[in-house]
Amino acid sequence: MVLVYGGNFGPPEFGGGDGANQWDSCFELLSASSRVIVYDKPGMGWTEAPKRDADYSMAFVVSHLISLLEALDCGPVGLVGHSRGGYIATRATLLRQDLVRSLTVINSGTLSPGVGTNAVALADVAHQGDQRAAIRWSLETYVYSPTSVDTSWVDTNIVLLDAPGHLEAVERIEAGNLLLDRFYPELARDKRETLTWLAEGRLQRPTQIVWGRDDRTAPVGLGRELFEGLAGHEPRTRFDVIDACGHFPYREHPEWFVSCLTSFLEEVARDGG
Amino acid sequence: MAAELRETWVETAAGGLRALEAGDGPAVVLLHGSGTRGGPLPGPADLWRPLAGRLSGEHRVVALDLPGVGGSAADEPRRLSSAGAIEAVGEVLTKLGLGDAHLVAHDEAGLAALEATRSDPRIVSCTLIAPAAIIPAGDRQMNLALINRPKPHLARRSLVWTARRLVGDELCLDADLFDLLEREANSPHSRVVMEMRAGARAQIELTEARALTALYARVRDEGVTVPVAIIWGVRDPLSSFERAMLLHTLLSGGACPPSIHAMARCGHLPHLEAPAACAAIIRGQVRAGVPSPSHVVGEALA
Repeated sequence: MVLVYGGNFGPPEFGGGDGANQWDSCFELLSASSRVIVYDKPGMGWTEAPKRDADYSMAFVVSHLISLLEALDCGPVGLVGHSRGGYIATRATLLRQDLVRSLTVINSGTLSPGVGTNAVALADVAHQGDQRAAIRWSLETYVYSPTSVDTSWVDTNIVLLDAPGHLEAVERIEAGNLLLDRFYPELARDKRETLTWLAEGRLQRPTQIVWGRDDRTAPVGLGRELFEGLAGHEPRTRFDVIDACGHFPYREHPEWFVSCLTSFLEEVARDGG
Repeated sequence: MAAELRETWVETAAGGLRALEAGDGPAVVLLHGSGTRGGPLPGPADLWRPLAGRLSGEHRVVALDLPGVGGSAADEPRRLSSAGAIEAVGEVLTKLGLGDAHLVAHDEAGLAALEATRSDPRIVSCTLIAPAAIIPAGDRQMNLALINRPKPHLARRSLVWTARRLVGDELCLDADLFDLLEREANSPHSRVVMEMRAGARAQIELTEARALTALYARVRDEGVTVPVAIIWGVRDPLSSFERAMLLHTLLSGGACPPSIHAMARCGHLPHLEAPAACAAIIRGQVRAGVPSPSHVVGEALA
């Protein structure tokens, strides 16, 4: 299975600075029964930054994932995407169904119809004190229980802020106003098209929607709406919701998440994909 | 009802500001939209005439041309931002000796108005009319309402096309209004400002995005501190009533409960479409000095 985390390139003020380390809470548990691949997206973590201004778009991040799946050459995968990664995984599936056996989307306001509430919940993150305090505040806002934000999560995110790919992406984005000029408008256009494709029933793969019920940034109603839209077309669609959980079910309830995902993948395997 | 508005000029270090003024009583300052980011229609103070006429019997009404719009100067791009609008409001309050004032802001001017309620203690209430531009928009969802505006956008045909799509009921649109919009859109001053805005577009967008973020953080954490009312036309094509309710929720939770008033037949220009109903709500804001509970205003008021 291939896991796609959330966030995008750019300064932390605009959601930048995450990496594949987000999955460390469930990586080992999942790898007990599957081959698990996590990766850093372009201009994030230890992956290089896009070299052309035109590539500071979600479309580029989607094509990067498709290239990765082609390079892995391991047959159709169980694709799992969280938050922005849920959109990326879904868009990649719509474009290349031959590469995907099943799709799991976790707390993705980016993919859902309607509007996420990041802009409000996380407003002014840059002004919550020093870099460490700002990262901790942001993660604590995302989760249900602040105790689920462990020091190693914060530490790794701070290290990633100095990664060369992240720094180069931030520099290019700030020089060319690439998020406001390019990334957001193109994402809005592509999202519209993606939702149209979903409404047309083009997503013809078993799909699982997983949601933390207490997410302040992507309320559970968005997940329900997404599920109901998909369930009308694809009978092998399920919706798994956990209480006392914010934006990161796989960090706040890792064992529940792993059991949920594993049972879905077993169902898909039993069904013959 | 036509208001007998007199033109007033306020001199500032950044150039002159034009305002239209009428009546006596508690000061109500009207702020048009379409100033900061160059919205779909030009927005001079004259657009407030129908509403001002209904308020001037009991209030001192001042409709301001924000910097760069109508007759008001803008000496630099910063003056076109919401920070520039807040400065201009402060200057007008001081130089006209208005004392405490009730702000009424259309669409994007709501950002400056809400911010002014915090930064200027003279602002004692705030009414937001059709504040589509300041509603949290997540990943900046596309709005297709005006996507195929006829070009050139400043031609009368395009302005008429746009105005017709913005309103819920075309009865409020007439030749006088189209004359005003055409004159304003094509004035030499507007063209100079448009060039200045185009040259500084990226900078203005980033500044405004950050100002909006700061506003969200403040109202999320503190609510609002003066009576705030939202007036929303259910037929507004630039956002939805559901989104307007979300803005209301965002403003709620503080010491001062805000209200929202939905009008079934209105679109994006309730102050032109239902000026009597808008005036009634604003009078309530002024009289009470405390907010009314949330409720939906039926068409009876219009």
